[in-house]
Amino acid sequence: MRAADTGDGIPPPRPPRSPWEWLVTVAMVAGIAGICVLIAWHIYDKLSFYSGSALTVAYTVIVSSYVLSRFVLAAFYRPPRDVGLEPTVAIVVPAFNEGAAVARTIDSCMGVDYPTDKLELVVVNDGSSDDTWQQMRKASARYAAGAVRCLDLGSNQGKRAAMAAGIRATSADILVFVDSDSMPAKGAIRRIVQGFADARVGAISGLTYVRNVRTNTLTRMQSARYYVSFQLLKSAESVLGAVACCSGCFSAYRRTAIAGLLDAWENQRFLGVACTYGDDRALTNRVIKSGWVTRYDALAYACTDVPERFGKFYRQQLRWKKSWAREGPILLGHVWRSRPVAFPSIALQTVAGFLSPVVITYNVIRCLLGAPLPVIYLAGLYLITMAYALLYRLLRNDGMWLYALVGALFYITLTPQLLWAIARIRDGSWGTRAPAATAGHAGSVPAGAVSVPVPAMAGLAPGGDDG
Amino acid sequence: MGELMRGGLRAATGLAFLAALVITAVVWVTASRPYNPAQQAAWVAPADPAAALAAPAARPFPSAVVSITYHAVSDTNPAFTAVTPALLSEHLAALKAAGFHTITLRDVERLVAGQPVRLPAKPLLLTFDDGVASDWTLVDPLLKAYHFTALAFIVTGRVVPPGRPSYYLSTRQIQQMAATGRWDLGCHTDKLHYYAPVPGGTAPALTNRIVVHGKEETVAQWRARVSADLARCQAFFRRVVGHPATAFAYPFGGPTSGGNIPSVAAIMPQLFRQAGLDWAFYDGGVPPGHIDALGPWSDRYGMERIPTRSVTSVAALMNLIRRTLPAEPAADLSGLPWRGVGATCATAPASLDRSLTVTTAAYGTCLLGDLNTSRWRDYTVRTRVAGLSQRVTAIIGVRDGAGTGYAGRLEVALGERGLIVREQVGKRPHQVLATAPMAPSPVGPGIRDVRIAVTGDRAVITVSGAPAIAVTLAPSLGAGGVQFAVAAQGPHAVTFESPTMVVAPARGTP
Repeated sequence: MRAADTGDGIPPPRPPRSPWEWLVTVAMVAGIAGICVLIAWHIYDKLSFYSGSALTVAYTVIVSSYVLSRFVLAAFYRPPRDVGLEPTVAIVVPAFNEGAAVARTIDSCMGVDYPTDKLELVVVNDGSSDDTWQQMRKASARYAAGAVRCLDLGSNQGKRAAMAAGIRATSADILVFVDSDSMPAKGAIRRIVQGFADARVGAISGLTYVRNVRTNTLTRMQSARYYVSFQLLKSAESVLGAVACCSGCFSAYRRTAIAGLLDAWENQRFLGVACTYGDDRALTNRVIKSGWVTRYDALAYACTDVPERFGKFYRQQLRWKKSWAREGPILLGHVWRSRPVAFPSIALQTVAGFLSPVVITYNVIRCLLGAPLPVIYLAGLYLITMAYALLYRLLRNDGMWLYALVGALFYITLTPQLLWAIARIRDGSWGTRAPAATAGHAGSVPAGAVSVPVPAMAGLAPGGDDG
Repeated sequence: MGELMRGGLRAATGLAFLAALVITAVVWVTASRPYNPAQQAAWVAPADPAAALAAPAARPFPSAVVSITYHAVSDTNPAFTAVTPALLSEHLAALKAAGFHTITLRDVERLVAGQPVRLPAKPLLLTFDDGVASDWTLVDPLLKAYHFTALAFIVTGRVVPPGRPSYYLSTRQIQQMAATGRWDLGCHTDKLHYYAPVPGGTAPALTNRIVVHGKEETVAQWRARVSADLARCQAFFRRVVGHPATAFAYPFGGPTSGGNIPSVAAIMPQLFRQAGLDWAFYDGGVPPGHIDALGPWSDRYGMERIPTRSVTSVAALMNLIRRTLPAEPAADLSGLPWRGVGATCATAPASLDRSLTVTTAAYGTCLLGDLNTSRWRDYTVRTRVAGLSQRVTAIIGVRDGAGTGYAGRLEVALGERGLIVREQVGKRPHQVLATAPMAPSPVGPGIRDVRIAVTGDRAVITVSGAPAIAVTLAPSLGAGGVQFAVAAQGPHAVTFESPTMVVAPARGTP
């Protein structure tokens, strides 16, 4: 029944729905709608009865409203129309100690379906200590002269410096960022530029699938999580024209939108230390602040690798949470004038995001001290995570919809990590022994791919990265 | 085969999670649904013609507002103050049929303050004490059905947050009540609606110095405690309905009910004023025995209400109402409903010479016990007494408290040759104020013309054949009706001819 695995995590085009699939579709839509009605009823009850402490009521209302608004907004999402736009495009790939993997990335980028005279690939070696530079040169030699440009920073200057160097080295109208471990699909470049037909759009995020999805349970959960985060949270944000993070895995920026921001972005400091993580979120943030609209294109695919071991996954989550904790309030601080229509949504998300770990930690401690199980809370949690699972099944039929449920619950358990992230927010290291100055970018870590945790909303919610 | 089993397992797992979804949804809805009892449908009692007939037909005193107190309304509550919804509905139907219209607290306030106010012919103030949830679930639908309004006195400290199961109202229900426009809200203390320990027993916590941590409060501590409580009550109303209350109701009677603070009745109004409360109602039934309808005469910190009990029938309620309404002084006393105690009271038809004949075997009195005479203050009574002899003494009482709520009166006793003016205050023995001999009657043997004028604390008694006597009354004999009594040796009758009353300061001579 299910489509064959294509090996890169990207599902093949969906076949026409069978009668059974239609039935499933209707059932899933009804299920999601039912859960949304229950959430709305719950919000109404909380507001009209105002039972419980002020904090509980505020938290429940904020988180429930956030979750509900995601589904409602996402229902209105439509991908940008294909208007046949063909601007000049430069794909910028920063690389640090990738070794032979960089060749694979170069090959996939050059394999996309786009006029060669309008496509340029800029690969930046950020002072790798291995043979990345040699591999880059070797791979680029296979293509026409000038098609692949290799830059060498000479010393390790960090991902932002590498990306900025790549951007400055090209004059293309549209800059597409691809992490060194990500691969755009064949039609992805042609697809992702279409949204720029709207002159207000400054950045567009593509949809990233997980290539190593079949490796183990952890990667399956991440895969389901990525998918729901993109299809639900980014769709919702796109409707409001303020996708908060055009992820580093695969996103496109308009040159005119970022040209003036590069210096400030490259040298961003926070609480007195240089920012080494959250580059994608920081850049999108500045684009929104300049008054540009940011969108999400659900039809522009790339694939990436996710951590296969828990330790690495944990450190990645910590980085994302740190960058969310830093950039979330910054976004909230300007979005009320740069993109007022998105302000309520972002305010809800920010407040809920910061409240969630507190409420979850509080509840866990209470239960450990012998308080009765918070049944309503747990039931609400299950309803919301189930809504994610139903959404997954509605959009994909690959037998992994339950991973969206289990994954969401799993991510929620990581929500209190935000408290640790806030405590360590000035620590710029990537959680490895490498000193901050030599912090890497990719190396199988999809740096800031999907950033942020909006942790368990309502405890309820999805942990999702809002990406 | 293995593929098939895996598929089956997967399908089973998915179904299990979906089933869990349904169960969770049910659990979630059930567990998080707030307690929100619905309003019950109102059972409208059929209009009972008998009840309408039993209604006080007598001319009510102009602008006297009948006020009635209810507490919980319930089919199961065993409290002696709790009425069933059916009984309440019958009460309201009878009140409606009798022509009563409810008025708002604001109208009552204007009336008592002596401000101009337009009132219906039979104004009514319904009050519900304690802030019981039935105010919302049972009473409000009835009010709506009968187009009545009411005043709820709420023990604010017992009010619960919305959605919590409780015998008492929730803040949300109170807001809903306020939003209907049918309810005024008043304070019934915040947390002082209880009996607290006092030396030697327990007493209402509001009006007594109570024992706290083994020590009896000082008056200053009591004042501070009550002030703080009233302030909390007002803060509650500000928070919940946006404005403070103006009215208060005492729990357990009034400030005079045997407390251990002698000046409590004088201090409480100060505390009310401090808290912004301009009106205080006594708990229904205080002082016992007599209740006056509300009017310009009412004490704004001692407003009285008719109590109801679980046994208060419609007829009993109508009777209570009748006794509550002050009667207008009657010009023709022979037309009143005289009740004989040890005597028969015969009134001649109005077509003949109007008279009241009191017949007794030894001692008997004709009383106006059922008439509320609390508005009878300054008046002059005239009559010609016939049938006096050596064996027969006639006694005319004025400012008689039988219809006013106190015991006592001023009595003028006429014998054949002399008269005695005496007063009785409370249960104390008679006190003689004056005596005078009488010359033979100029009108005829055994016949005397009598004129008694009471004004303020002065009474002037003029009897034909005797000098005019002026006496000063005890202050507590402030208002009251008239009674006629006969003391005789053996069966005798005395006729009081043309007994009349004029409301005005007396002048001239008979």
